[in-house]
Parts: sequence; C-alpha cells; structure tokens
Amino acid sequence: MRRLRSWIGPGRWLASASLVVLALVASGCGEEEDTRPARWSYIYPTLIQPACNTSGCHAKHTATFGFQLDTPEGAYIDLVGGMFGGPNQPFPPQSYVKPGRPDESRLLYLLRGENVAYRMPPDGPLPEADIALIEKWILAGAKND
Amino acid sequence: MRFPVQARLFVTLLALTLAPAAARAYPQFQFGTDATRCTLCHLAPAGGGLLNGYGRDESADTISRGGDGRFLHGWWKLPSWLKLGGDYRGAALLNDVGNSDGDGPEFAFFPMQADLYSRFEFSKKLSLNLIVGARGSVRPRDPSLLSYAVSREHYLTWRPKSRGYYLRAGRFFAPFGLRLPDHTMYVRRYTGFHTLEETYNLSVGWLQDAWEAHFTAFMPDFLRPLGQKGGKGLAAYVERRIDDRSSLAMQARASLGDLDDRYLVGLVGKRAFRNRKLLLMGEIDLMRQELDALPDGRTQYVAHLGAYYWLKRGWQVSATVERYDEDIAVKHVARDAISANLQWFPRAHFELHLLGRTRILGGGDGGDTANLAMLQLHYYP
Repeated sequence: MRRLRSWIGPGRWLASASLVVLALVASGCGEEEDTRPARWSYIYPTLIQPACNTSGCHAKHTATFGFQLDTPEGAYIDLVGGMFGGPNQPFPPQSYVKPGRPDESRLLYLLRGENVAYRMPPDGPLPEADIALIEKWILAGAKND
Repeated sequence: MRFPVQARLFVTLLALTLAPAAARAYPQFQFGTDATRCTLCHLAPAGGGLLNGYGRDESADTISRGGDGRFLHGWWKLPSWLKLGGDYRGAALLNDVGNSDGDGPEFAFFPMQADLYSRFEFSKKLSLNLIVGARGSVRPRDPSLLSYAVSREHYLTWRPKSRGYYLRAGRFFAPFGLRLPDHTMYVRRYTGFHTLEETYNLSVGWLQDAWEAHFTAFMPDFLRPLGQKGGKGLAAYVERRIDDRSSLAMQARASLGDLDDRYLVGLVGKRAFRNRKLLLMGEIDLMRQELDALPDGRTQYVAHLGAYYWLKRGWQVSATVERYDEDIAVKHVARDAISANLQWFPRAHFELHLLGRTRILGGGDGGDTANLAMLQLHYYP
C-alpha cells in the first residue's frame, strides 16, 4: 500500500490518467473501411436504441411525435411501415424510411439536419459514418434482417 | 412572527410542488469542500439526493454565500422521522446541432425537473425513500400528461450505523462512476445511467472513512421503463480515499439483455489541489458489447476529465473534456465534447448555472460540431 501511495503521490495518477485519455483521443484507432453490417439487427441496438430510445424522446411512455422506438420490432414498423405527420403536426403525413430510396427517406434528412426544423438526436447528433451505415441499409432494401 | 400550521403546510406543499431537483449529486464537492465522502452531507448511502443536517449547513456556510440551509430556510421544523426536500430546475437553452437549412439554433425555455424528495424513518436503522415528480421536456409534443409523472427513486434502506454495512432495495441508480447531475455527459449517457434509466436493485455496501464498496444486482425497470431497456446484471464500485484530498475507485458492470450483453470496467479518480480550491476528477471506462449481428462484438470506451475551481465562495468555474468511441475498430465514429461551466450559489437553496458545450462528431476528423448554451435556475427547498 505504501508503494502504491508513493506512486499515486500528488497528482501523478491524474497526470497518468490524463495521458491515457489524451493518447486515446489522439489515436486514430479503427479501420478506414467501414465493415459493420448494414442490417437492422445491428443498426437497432448499436445506433437507434442508444440515440433515440431515451426518456423524454422516443421511449415507450413518451413517444414524441408518435414514434415509439423501444423495441426492434416496433421501431422497424414505425420507421419503415408507419405514416407520421398530418393534422397537429409540423409536417405532412409521410413514411420515414422508403426501402431502396435513401433520397426519399425523411429519417436521413432528420439525422443530417437537412430541410428539417430539428436535427436528430438533438442532444447528440450521430457521426456521418453512422448515418452512412443507415443509408446503406435503406439502399439495400431496409430489411428487418 | 408565528404562522398557523395550515399556512406552513400550504407554503410547504406549494414550494414542494413547484420544486423539481436532481437525484444526482455534485461530485466536485467531495474534496472540493471539507467533505471527504459523500455520506457526510447526503442521507443516501452512496450520496446524492436529500441532504442531512450537516449537508444543509454546508450548503449555506461553505458552498453558497450564506443564508439558512435548513429545510424551507428553517421556516418549518419537520418531525425527526421525516425528511423532505426537492429540486426545481428550469432552463433556457440555445441548441445548434448543425441544421443545414439555415433555420438557426433552437431556442427553448422549459421546466427541466420537478421532484419532491421524502424519507420516512421507521426506526434508527430502517428508512423508506420516495421521490415523486415530473420529468422535464424540451419538446412537449404528443405525449400524454400522465407520461410526465415519474418516480425516479423509491427504495428501502437498512443501515444500522453510519459506518459499516448497509442494504438497499428498490429503484435507484446503482452506485457507479462520477455521479454527475448532467445526464448528457458521456460517462452517464453511454454507460446505462442516462436520465430516468434507474434500475431496480438489491444493493449491499460497506462504508468506512477511508473506503467504501457497493455491490448491486440490478434489473431493468419492469413497471414503467422510461428509457433504454437495458439488461439485468451486477455492478461493483469500490472507492479508496488515498488521503483527505484524493480518491481512486475501480468499477465493473455486467449487463445481460435481450438485445445484447455489455461488460464494463473502469477507473474513477479525484484529487484536490491548492487548499481545495482546485479539483480534478476523471473517469475512464472500457466497454464490450456483444450482440448476435456481430459475432466478434465491439469494444468501446468513454472518458471524462474535469477541472473545477472555486473563484471565491459561492462561485465555481469548471471545464470538462469527454470522449466516447462507440467502436474502436471503426474510424470516424468517436465523438468528443468540451464544456465550460459557471455556477453561482448566491444563497443556500439557490443555484444559477451557465453551461457552454461543444460536441465534435467523427473523432476529430473534420466531422460536424454541435453547440449548446444553457442557463439553468435551480432551487431546492
């Protein structure tokens, strides 16, 4: 314990921790080519759920704008099969994902903040690489695979 | 002048109804004040939430520029078996997430949180904590009125002595990591501790002057899940106070869910300098997520480093840097954040908090940025 204390000494552990953080920040880890699967079974738990299914947003009991994204099945139905908007909504009724048609899929415009009132998610937009993966999934037919 | 009981009751209920607050703590006050452990000021065994008598005194005598820190400014003396409190947070924000259509940043003024805290002591050892309140919402569209009613915490605690073991059962956040009030901080947002994601737990812990340990078996909220439905599992947090100015903690968490399994190991550290005027604190967690669609799984990490400085009594400035990398095997998916804060505690019970935050997407590879400015008024009765 004494050895540990002397190593920890004034500020030394924090300096070490800072160096680790800085090294991680500075390191350009990862591969240039995105090999992640463009499949709903990957996209939902890694991108949609952590970004959108949060309290006050699109969780079961809040379902802002009618979207309830708390399960992969429900989220798929809402995004791909659903029609949202219309009366009392700030946008006309429309589907958010049109299989094979990324340019007509409102979801991508929301995620990129193009021609929409709010970019989503408002508390932490997704990096372009993640949006591009979702686009790839839509282009491939937006299957529930 | 003395007021009738009915008048006191009315004012109390009015204040508590209007008063929302965070069930989280201010981790910078550990070592940043004379307190070396959270339970010196808080009633909960892992800190956060309701203050004890010493904590209320400190809120007036050390943290803020004076006043009466007692419940409702000392206007109503509660019976010894009952503790009440609360938090009210209203905020104005300017949020620029990078819309490209020229609409400009979003401006909103909204009630952030309104919670009433209560603690009923059945005996010296057994107590019931209950928080009821309303969740905040920046964009209140569509959800039913009932969806705003929340109970962040409700739990029973068996704690024979202030030092030694305790047991706790119910809904609360398992003791883990930096207990930051800002739920958008990456070490909360991406580790299963986002706002209203409290789990149902059975927790056992040991509290001593030099160290504390908490072990928690948890399961997701099965009654009324308000956020991500995580898995069930175990969490451990062990903190060692090196001296009266620093601590180092190790933590681990395993969560097994329907969609994925998640494993996390991390370190948390704090150190005060310059006669406690400056506090540095940090957390780093390495995470592993395993899911069917990705047989090899993915490795993530999240890091937080903050510096807090008391300009003078009642005034604190701070700066934080954060990083979250959602998959270290993939380029351009990390995100960073830099924040600056000014917190003013003019009198006990009051806080004004100005926050500026820039998030940089894509791991510093020329990705988008998103900027947030927020002014928050906080009152706790």
